[in-house]
Amino acid sequence: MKPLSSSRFGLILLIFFTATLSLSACNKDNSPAPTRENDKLAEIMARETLVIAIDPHYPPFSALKEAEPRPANTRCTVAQYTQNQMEGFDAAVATEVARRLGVEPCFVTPQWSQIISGNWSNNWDIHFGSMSITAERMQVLYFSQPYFSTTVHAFVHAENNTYQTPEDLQGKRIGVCAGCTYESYLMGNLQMPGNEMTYRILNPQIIAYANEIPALEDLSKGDGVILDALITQKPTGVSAIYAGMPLRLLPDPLYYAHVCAVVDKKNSRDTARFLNRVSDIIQEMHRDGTLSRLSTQWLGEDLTQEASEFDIKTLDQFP
Amino acid sequence: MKSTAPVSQSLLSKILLFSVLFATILTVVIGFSAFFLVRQVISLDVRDTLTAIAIVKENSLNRWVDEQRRNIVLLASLPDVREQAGALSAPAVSASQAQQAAENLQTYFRTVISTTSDYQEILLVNAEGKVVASSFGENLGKDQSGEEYFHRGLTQTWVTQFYTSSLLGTTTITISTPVFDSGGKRAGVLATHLNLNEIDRLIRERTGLGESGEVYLVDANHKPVTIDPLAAENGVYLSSQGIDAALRGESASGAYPNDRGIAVIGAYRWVEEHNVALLVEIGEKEALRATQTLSQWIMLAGLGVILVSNLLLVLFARRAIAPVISLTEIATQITAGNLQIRAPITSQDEIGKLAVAFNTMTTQLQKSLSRLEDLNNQLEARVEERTLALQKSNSELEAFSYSVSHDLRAPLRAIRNYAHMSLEKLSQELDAESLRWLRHIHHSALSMSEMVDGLLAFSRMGRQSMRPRRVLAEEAQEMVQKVIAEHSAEKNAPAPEIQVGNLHGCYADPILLQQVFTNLLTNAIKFSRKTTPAQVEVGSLETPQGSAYFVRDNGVGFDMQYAEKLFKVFQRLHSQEEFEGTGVGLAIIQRIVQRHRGEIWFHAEPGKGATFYFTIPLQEGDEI
Repeated sequence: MKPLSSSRFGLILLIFFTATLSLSACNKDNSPAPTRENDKLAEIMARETLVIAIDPHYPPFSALKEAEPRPANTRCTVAQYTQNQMEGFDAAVATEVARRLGVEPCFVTPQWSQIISGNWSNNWDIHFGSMSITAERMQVLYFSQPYFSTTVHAFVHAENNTYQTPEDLQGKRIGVCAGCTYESYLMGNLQMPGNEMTYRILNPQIIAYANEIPALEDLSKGDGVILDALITQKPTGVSAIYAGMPLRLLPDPLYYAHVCAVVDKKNSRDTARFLNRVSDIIQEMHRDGTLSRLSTQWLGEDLTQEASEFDIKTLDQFP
Repeated sequence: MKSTAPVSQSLLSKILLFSVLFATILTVVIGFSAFFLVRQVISLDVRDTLTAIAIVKENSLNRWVDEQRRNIVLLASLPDVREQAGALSAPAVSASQAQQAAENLQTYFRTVISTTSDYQEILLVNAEGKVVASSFGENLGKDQSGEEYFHRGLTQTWVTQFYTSSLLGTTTITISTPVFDSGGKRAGVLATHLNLNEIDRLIRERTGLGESGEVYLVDANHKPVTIDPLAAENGVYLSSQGIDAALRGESASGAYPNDRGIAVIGAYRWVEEHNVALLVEIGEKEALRATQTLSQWIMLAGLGVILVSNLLLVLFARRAIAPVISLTEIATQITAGNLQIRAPITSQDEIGKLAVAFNTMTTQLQKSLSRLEDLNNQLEARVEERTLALQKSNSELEAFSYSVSHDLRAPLRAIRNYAHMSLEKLSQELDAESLRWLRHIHHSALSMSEMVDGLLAFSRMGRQSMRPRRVLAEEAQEMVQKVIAEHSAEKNAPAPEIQVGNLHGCYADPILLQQVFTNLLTNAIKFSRKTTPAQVEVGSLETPQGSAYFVRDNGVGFDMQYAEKLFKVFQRLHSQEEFEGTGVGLAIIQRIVQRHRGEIWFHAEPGKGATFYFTIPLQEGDEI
């Protein structure tokens, strides 16, 4: 056998040390592939249900039909309502989105104040509940492509003849849902992207409610009995009038709102893929006329046109 | 034997030194790289662990707060609470009814607090910001309209960041949410101040972090987030690399000195939700203790390796070097002349080959040496043989010339005498021509007789036994003076000027030495006779051949091209008529000098004189 020359031996030593030292230097990995542990969409697809937060008493957008029997093969948990137990425009849109995702929609009914403050702790995936975009909400929530848009109006008692314009409501008792944009509007601090606000009702006495239903009921009790007016989006008030409530719409709109589905910003999973997918589906539903049809069906008119022309991506929600 | 020991030792020590050096460098390099590698790995590992703990802590804090947030929403939605809240806020309610409702709520709130221990206080603030019901009675009626939790809580469920509560005077998190009466109308804000003891427990609870482990929260103002109001108010300002980075919104880990200057490894996170920095730190010393142990082990192992490897090396080297040592010994013996010895062949490796080559070389050396010796012996024998033959012929020749010259003397004397007598008796009767012939005969016989005498003397000089002894310088001087006295005034010529310089002593036969001086001086006087003034010089001088005597004259001299003839018997450079003589004198001188193993040479020039030099041993046994 040939003896190892000293230079060759040195080379081997050098290689040995280089190899040893470089072992510590190669530990890089790229962004992980989406799994149910790190990606919201993957989790939903794996679970095969889309858990939707929705208001149980908010016709014509959402209304609970508790008497309806649950389907035998549902994947929804007993604490969740199944597709057939929820009706209304929001419920129908949410159901269609779930269908297009290829999963079953399941509904939960947390309080509005909980929904708008974010921090959902993964208790539900998405909220469909006539949520309009505000700067404040954008701090804790992600907004999807809007699925309809509406004007916001003041409603007064049908017997009242003095209130014709919003300005007439100065200093009056006005009912709103607590935490809704209407309350902010009355407080004069509503900020909506791309929407210049004109505050037309000065010094109102704000009476806040958990949602619009008790406000509508209180106003129905008589002109000035509890409330002088209330503020809500057009379909809600109009739907109440259709339902027989003695109310009158002040035709001057206070402002214009795009309504979106929202996703909790604070999430242990990446929600960007999920939100973009939902936005794509909604845009798809705009294009194929599904939303127009549902709007006409539930709201009596097509309110989706402006929403389809809005591009949510201009809001730059994912820095 | 003894001379080889240092060689082997130095060889062995060189190998040893090299291997110790090599092993040491190797050990140190491996040791250090392992140490730093492990230190790095452990450090990274510790940082990972700390980061994991920080994430767990942050998550458990968030989860706990979330839980409280859900609880408060639940509390606010309970029909009982809504009813009492409605009773308190309704405009047309009597004072006693309101009082009763407040007491009901208070009892209710206290029950919740005592069962959960998650809250310090639960309170209801009406739409105007006044505390209308509280688990802590003293706060009743206080104005909260300026508080953030109140404003936010009117419209949504709100969780404050850590702040110093005006109601409690301590740091807390407040959660607020709107309460609606049974009719759905907002009755106020339900709020809870979270119990920081729970957060403290949650955060500070150590999770296997060792003695020096620490988990703490720092608010955006660099103040510690703690239940202890003193620490919060005493103007404590916490700052370290970790705290500062976390407060800038970074979440990472690293090694740095903490706010007390102790070196720590820490993971820090900016908890966005609660606006605090969460720090998980452990003393670097404790964290890297394993590294220290490891480095000690590496050092020990390294020392062991050096020791064992060198022990093995010594054993191996001794074995490997042994043939070299024996070869060296054998070479030394061969140098000393022992050509019989051969190197043992113990292996097939390079050393074995060396031994084989060495033996071959020795054998060839031995062969050529013996051949040389044989040749030498042959040559010596031949020389001896020749010398003997030469000596024999020489002595035969000498004996012959002696006997010839001796035997020729009597007839010559007869011729000379008879010619002389005939000249005296017949000078009247014979004519002039006959007389001239007769005189010629007589003269020739006389001359021949002198030649024979010279030859005899020369011959005798070769046979005469020598009696050399020490001749002192004064003796030599005396000898020369005596010769000068005897021969300076002869042949009716003016005496030359004779200078005698210093003469050195020597070791010679004094009679023969005197003969040399005699012959040289008489020659000098003779050949300078025709020069005026005649000058003769005698002395000693140093020559390349050694201390030499010289005799110089300024006489006729001779041409050096005839120098070869000079020392031959009867050879003369001058005619009998010019300068009388037999031509034997110089031959005799040469023989005497040669018998003393000295040398004789000369220098001459026609008309300018001649100088003769000769050397004689200075001491007994001196080789010239």
